[in-house]
Amino acid sequence: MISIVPKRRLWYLLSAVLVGASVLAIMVWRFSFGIDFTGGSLTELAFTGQRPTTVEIQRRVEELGASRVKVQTAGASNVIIRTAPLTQEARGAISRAFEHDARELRSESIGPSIGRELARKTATAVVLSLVLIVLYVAWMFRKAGREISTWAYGTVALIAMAHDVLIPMGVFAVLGAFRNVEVDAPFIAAVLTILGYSINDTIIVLDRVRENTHVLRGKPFAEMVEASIHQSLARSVNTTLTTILALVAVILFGGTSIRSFALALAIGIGVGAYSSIFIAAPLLVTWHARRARRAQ
Amino acid sequence: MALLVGRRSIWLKLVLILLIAMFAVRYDAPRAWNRLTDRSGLRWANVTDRPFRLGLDLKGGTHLVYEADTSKIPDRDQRTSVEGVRDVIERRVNALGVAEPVVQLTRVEGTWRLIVELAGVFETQKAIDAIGATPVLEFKELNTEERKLTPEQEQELTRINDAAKRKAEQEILPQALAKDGDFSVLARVHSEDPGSKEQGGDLGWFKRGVMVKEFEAAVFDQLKDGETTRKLVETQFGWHIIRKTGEREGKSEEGRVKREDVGVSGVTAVTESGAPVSIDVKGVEGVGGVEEVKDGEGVKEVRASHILIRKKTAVDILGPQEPWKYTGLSGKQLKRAQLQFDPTTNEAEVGLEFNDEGSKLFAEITKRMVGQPIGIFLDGRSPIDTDGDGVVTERDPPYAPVVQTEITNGEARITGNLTVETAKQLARRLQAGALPVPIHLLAQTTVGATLGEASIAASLRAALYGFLLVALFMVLYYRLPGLIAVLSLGAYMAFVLAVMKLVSATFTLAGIAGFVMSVGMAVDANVLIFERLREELRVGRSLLDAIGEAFSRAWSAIRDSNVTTLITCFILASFSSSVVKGFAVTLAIGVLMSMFTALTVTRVLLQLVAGWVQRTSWYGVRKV
Repeated sequence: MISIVPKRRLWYLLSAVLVGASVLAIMVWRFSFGIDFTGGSLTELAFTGQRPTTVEIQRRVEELGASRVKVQTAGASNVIIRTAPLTQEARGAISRAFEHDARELRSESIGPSIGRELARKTATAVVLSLVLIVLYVAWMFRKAGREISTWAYGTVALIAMAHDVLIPMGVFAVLGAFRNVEVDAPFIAAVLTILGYSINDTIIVLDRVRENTHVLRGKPFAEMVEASIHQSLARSVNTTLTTILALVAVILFGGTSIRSFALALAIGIGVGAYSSIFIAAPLLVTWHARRARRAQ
Repeated sequence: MALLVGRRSIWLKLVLILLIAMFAVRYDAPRAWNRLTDRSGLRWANVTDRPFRLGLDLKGGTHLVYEADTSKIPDRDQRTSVEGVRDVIERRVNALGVAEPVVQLTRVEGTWRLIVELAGVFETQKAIDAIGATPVLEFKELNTEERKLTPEQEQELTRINDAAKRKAEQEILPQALAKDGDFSVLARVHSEDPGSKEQGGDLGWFKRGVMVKEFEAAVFDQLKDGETTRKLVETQFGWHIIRKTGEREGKSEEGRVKREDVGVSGVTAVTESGAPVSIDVKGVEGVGGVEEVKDGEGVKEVRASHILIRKKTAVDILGPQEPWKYTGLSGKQLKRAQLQFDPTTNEAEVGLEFNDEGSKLFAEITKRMVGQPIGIFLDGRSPIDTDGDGVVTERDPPYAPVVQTEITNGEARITGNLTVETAKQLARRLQAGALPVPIHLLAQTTVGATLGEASIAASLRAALYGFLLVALFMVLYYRLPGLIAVLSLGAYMAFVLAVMKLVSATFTLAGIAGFVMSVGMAVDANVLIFERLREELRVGRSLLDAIGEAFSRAWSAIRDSNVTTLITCFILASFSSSVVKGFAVTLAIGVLMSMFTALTVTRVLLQLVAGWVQRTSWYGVRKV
């Protein structure tokens, strides 16, 4: 049987490395934000015959007066052209320029003010979610008992959440730098959903710890936490596994436009299960031990 | 005994659940259901097909977001103004002929936005052009202007008509008179009377008094049966070559020719030009010179064919006369339009308030036009439905209240026969023209039909495989309870789809992803229960006791762990991005329904099965 609490330093280290690498990746590569955030135009074309090179397409689009042109291939015959916001005339000109060789699958044009709104909305939504969840956790564990305080549960939940969100963000910074994967409105939805969902596992584990502070009174705290983790291990793993299985189906079969969204969710939820088992509960032990030392 | 009663209530609950599930399925897939009922002869159980609402990313179409610039509009008028703009855009969009256009007004961070969704419209530019920009409100009067031709135009007209006459005289007439000539063929080729041309010039039977004077003189007085005029007969319409084809004593109504069939040829040209029917256009009156003709014995009727070579008139040169003339008064001079009630009769009316310039102009207009109508045009059309078909189109007659009295203070009232609803609508639309709210396009998304179809196919595939993967895992890991969870999951999916339909939630691509994800989450509740069940069984409880205990203990964990997901869903639902919103709504519905299904379906199935299979090894416990 895997030993969790005694080896907690190892798990902390693993997480610290992952989170550190993620933060570093975010700082180095930043995110490549989609037009949802930056404003701009996007056109996806499906070429019927020979697909021109991206360089060739880029040149032709730039000749029509578009700036910040980014051309990217998608699938075997598709091309996604991203530009700075276009006037309707320029947009029409681009559609016409390729109308003989390609079919226009979709087009999107977003003004910069919508992008700013999304950025503001995202910030408020993230803060609001964190505050509400922490308040909820604190309220849930309000009768935490003498061994460990309500705020310990809240703080641990907060750390777990930061952990669960930072890692997928780091992955997307890397994917953005090397695979042209963008951070867009659905990604924000994914991040917030991770916040809400992966805390579930944390709550299940912490709830078991709280229950056992009454049931297993007399046992050393660390042992009690270890027992609680093992009691809830199967359900934590299984609830996560079923959700990830469903998301894997979306990643594999759901089409390209939804793939990165499902990927972000799957990563976040997977990391979330890890953090509830290997980080959240052991952190309670660390907290408890530190308080005990200070009391001496 | 107690056990017996318990079993019976379980069966009862099971039947109830099956009924609910059946209703859900029936609602989810009405077509498949109806095929089934048709085949088994249960036609009475058919359901009406109510399709799922699909987002534009699945259906294909154009999504436009406009911002309404209300900076120049006083606060208290803002709402009516933007609502007016919405009305105006709705009218313009309806003119596009889109199946179910959506025009929505939302308020985002203090600014008003208009969201326009046009399913099946892929030519973005056309849609944007149709929606256009600022609405135009104009007040017009009847156009009674006499139009004069310039000397050059007069000359041009004479030249054209001389040429036409020459052609008729020198080319067509000789052919018509030739012995072997076929009059009807000639009429088909040359006649410019649209009403009779296709009949080979035949006008049918008519009595005296139906046709213009010159025409009647020829057919009644000069021609014998079968004869053709040797010279052109000139009327106000042009030059006729007439052949008389019959003569009889009239007896009955039959064979009587309506006025429109003949003399009107010249008139239809005028009315076809767009002049509304209700307005008397100059030149129409007196055309036919209709006299009362007595039916009955002794009235001579003739039948004739003719070839008409039209005489061009001033209208042909100048183009049709506009029926309405702009008064110079427009929405710019209108300060406010609002719904109000007559203090004495309490009837709904619309109050108009003009600014200084408008008041002066309005005073001048109303003084000049007492007793005459003033046409109110919004975007060149009536502001409200005037032909009673529920929509405003170009065919609606103009909305033109009649001036009762001279109004000098710039405050007018539109009264009479207005329902509160109509008055409200009228006021709102006039207000839209009064305080034009400029709109700017903020964002546009167009999804082609093929991409939408591909997305639907991919999503359905993802949902199917997602379900299968989860089901496989559950059965392999939890065995018998796993199978129960899978059945429960089937019911869950039927419930969620039914609720989506019931609350008219829109399925988007991200929403379906949320739905698939929720399939994985829905079994979470089952997992929590089954894990509890194992624990309780290991402690040594009896199966039924353990089941009861597992449900009551797991419930708090299920509830508590779902609350946080619901919190984030509600926060996400406030985003204006339809992708994010669609995902959040679907996920929230999924989470709520998953709790319901776990507590009802899973529970009842588990209790039922517990009556048949008591060996705990079937429930995942190795040793008792």
